[in-house]
Amino acid sequence: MRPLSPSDRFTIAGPHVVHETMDDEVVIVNFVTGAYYNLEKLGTVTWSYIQAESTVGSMIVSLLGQYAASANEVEQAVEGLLRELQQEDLIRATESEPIENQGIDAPTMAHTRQPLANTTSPTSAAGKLPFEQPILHKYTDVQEMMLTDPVHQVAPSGWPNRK
Amino acid sequence: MHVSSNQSIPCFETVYALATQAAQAAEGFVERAYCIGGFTIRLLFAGPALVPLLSPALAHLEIAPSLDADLTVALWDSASTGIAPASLSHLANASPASWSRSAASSPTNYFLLDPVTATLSMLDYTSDRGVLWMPDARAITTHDKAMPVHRLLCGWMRARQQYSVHAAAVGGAEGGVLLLGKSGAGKSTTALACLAAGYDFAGDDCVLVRPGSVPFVSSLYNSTNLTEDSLRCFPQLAGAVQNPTRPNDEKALVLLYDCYPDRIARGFPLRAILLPQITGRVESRLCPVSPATGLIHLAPSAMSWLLYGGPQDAPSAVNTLAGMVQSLPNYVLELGSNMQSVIGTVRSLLSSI
Repeated sequence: MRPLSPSDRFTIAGPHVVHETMDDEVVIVNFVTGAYYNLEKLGTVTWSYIQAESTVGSMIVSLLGQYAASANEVEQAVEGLLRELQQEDLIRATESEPIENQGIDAPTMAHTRQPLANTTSPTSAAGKLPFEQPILHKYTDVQEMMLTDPVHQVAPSGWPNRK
Repeated sequence: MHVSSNQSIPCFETVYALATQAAQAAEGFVERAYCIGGFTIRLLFAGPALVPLLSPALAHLEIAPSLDADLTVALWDSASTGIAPASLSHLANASPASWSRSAASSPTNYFLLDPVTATLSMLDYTSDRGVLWMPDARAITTHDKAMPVHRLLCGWMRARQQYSVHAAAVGGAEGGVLLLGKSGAGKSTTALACLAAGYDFAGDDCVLVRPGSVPFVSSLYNSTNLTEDSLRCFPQLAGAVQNPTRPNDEKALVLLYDCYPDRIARGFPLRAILLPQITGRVESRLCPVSPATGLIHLAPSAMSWLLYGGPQDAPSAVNTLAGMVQSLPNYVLELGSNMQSVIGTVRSLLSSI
């Protein structure tokens, strides 16, 4: 797997991923695998940037503006979370036009599109949120059933057969 | 038999016609009507064999028979009626244990072949009819006695924005609480303690919730399934156990309408969501948690809707349920060993909201 580039962007993997953001938490359900997840705080903010298809670089710059952390800490946190979300088939890389450029509301944070190499540590921690590593909490109690007993969705034209 | 092509799924009309034939062979339909979630559900039993097996868990919801039903379900078994489903002869001639579960859904129909309960369930959403078949009523499972016609009722209700959730509910006409959690979390113990203390009971394992400006819980079954430990906590229920000679791995089935006929409610408004957790302490207490925590506890119910088929709206239903948990206070109910403290904690909450 190649290293992430600052210009990389991600999007929600598809309609099988349902998510609800409440306050500073997001609950994510994967209806294909049966696993469900939650993220908090910095993870929730990152998820909102994924929804907006922000570049990795702009995510990091924006997070650096909000959290008392070094660029290295934020880069590692974001990259680790993005990789994990990809592995869980919750997000996928996208080449399409960013949602924020399509007239759809983006997160309220201003996104500066600097390359990762140009990011710097925040000059002051004053007023910033304490940094915590984002953790993707995963729940698999119904996953096994989902995987062993697929439900067959049938198109209206294909079923039932009138005999 | 996993459904691999449309040819494997029987036609609803064909199967429904077999139920009618079965009724003719068994001297007609025995009719029962129930008010569930505000809808009139009519069950047409082909002959008497299934009536005493499937109707008691719904007895608290029974109303006078009505031709003006919102959903009509025909039910029959082959052993007592002699009518085998020709289109499913490969099933009728095989042990249910050899069936493979198969489920399918479309916007108009629902199909579930379940070897665990040895039942075939089908729904036709366009005509609001369903059919339930089993090879032999005498082989009915305790699960089906506890939660009769479960998949059909839940599937049809989901299409009307009433969602089946794995939860218990207790309260009163002014409002109650939804108790969410995995098996063993303490839902049943809490619900039964509150019931014994005078609160109304709307369900244990499965209830219907209707999100909205005032979320509402509706009762489906008056049954509860208790472990030996739970049964020891409620000795007054011991005489009402329906399966006294059960296997070691089967819970005791109790029909609570037999024990508390005045306290089994059709439903009530929801005032809070409680997530019971057994602690090592003596006293109980409430700890506020985020709506997201409440939704996490509802997620398995939403995924079970897909597991058992039904309308293909489970993802959007998650969003609807999210609105419900956001409109209610969510608490972890830390359960202590003092049962009076459990009841007092719920009582304090209900009197304050």
